[in-house]
Amino acid sequence: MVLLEEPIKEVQTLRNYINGEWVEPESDEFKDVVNPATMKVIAKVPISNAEDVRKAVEAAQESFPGWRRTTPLARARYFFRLKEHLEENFEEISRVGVMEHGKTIDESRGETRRGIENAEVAMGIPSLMMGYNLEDIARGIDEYVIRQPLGVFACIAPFNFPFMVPLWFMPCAVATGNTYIIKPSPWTPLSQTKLFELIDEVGFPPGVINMVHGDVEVVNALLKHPDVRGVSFVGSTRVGREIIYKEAASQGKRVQAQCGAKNFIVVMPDAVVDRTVASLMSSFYGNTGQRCLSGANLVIVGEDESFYHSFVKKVAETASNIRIGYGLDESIQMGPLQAVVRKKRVLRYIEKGLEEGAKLTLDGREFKLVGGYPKNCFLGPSIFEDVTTDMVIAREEIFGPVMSVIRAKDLGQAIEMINGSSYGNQAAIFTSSGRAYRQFQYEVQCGNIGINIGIAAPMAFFPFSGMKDSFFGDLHGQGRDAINFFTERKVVIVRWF
Amino acid sequence: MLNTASLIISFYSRLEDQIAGFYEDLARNERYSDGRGTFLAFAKENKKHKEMVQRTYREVITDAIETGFSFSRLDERDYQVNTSLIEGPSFSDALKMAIDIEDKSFRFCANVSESSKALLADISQAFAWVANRKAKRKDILESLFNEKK
Repeated sequence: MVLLEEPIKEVQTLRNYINGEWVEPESDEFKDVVNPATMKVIAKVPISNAEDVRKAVEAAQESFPGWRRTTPLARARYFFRLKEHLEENFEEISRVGVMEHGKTIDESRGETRRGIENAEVAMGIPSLMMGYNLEDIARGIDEYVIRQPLGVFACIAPFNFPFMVPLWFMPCAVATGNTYIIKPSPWTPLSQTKLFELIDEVGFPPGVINMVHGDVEVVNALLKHPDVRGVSFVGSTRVGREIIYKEAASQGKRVQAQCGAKNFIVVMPDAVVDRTVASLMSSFYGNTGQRCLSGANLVIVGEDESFYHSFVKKVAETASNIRIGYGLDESIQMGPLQAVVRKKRVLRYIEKGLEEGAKLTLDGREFKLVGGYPKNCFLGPSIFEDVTTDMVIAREEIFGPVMSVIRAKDLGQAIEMINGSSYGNQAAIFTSSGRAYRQFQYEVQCGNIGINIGIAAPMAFFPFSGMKDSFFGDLHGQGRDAINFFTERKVVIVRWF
Repeated sequence: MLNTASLIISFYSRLEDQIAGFYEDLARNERYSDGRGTFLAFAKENKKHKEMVQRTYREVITDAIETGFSFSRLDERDYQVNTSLIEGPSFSDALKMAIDIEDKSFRFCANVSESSKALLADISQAFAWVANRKAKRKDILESLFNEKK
């Protein structure tokens, strides 16, 4: 076993980045950042307070008029430079991601690439931000729409994609002329810190992009501050709906809250089995099941007993051979959960599944760990059979490597199950039938649909959709939605005498 | 066992470095001067291939595809190449070594391409392209070998 070199050699004490400078927080409270594979402390992150937020908002607000007047072309060029820096630091960022989160190096590089792609989209802002016009709406009178930035926006980021998620929002917000504040997850603040080192090197004007580390107090201060014009959030449904959406909306802020999920993956009897199984491994166990697009419920359609049993057997065999260990070992296919508390949560759901009478075909509590690492955060892949949609394990988001296998007599029943869920983030179907595909994409009430794709993660130039309890707001992150979210459309009607 | 995209790319990169070094050593040695032009061109091409494959991997990788599960496990022992010139082989023997190296690296690239075809199509395509070039290089070396017989 050879490990890729760890980029973090010693415990770092992190600082906030406000008004173009690294600054000590007002608070003297710090939280340990732990590598979940080794359980070693790799950083101390400040738990900032409302005063830190006030300073960041003030800096962002002050820089807004000047940044807004910077031409879109010039703003875009900052992102060209940032992209160059990101490419040069691609591997280091990816390895930091492994260390702070636990994901595998392939997964982390994939996350880094997705983040960079959002910066690339922002480079096209001179075109993307254009308005539109119509002459002669009445004789001699023209009308047009211009897009204008609003002011200070903020991102409240999750732990599971700590590098990528803030980049779903920030480049578009800043390139359209707004100023920005990122609050990274206190569990995984290091890849964002690396991003801000690069932002600093690029030389964005002071106050345009700021970072405040912290937790609940920072969130509340951002939500309540009158100069924050909008908030982008990715996290749980409970927080997204009850806190972020309600609080921000009640203050008249724009809000996009991308929340939890319980994703159904449907396998038809005509699916291409080998390719489907490989894709399911990535869908259910990739990122150790900690993503809002992860497969959670595997619905196998049809009453053919032999297909069902041979398919589940193949899935279980493949899952049981997944190599589990530290993601900087390139042979590892699944890393640890991000923290002990997250493993405990998954274990509770496994217990719950057993209580509810589901059959634990593959028990992730027993697994082989590659390397002599502490098992604190590690867990193997689990598979439950005999699951029904009324069970807690089929309804609630587990956020871990657990697959619940459900049977449906036909595609219609499978779609009913999906549409009966309170969530609507993603659904996927594996089939060779065009008819089944069309029925699926037409009828399923989910924002992101995969056809023979286990993780239907939209690219940077498409919106990351989501419905029902998976999204609160109206304009999603990424794509044209993001341009609309971060700009005010002003209508001008012109007549010259 | 090579079971992930990262491991495959790392192994492949080392293989190309090793082969490029082999051809550069051949090109430096007067004993093999008849093949110098070919060897230098091959070494340059090895570096270009490595760059192209690495670039493909880095530019198409996303968290959403099956990088960890796309390869039927390839055994790296099947693709180890001997590039040692310590024993000072004759020109013909050096060409035989080179042919064997090209053959093994061709098989590696072709197998990676085949096993990743379904899920990592861009990487599969890149390896297919390199495999194709390696097959042609083997033909060139065999022609050179036959001329020297």
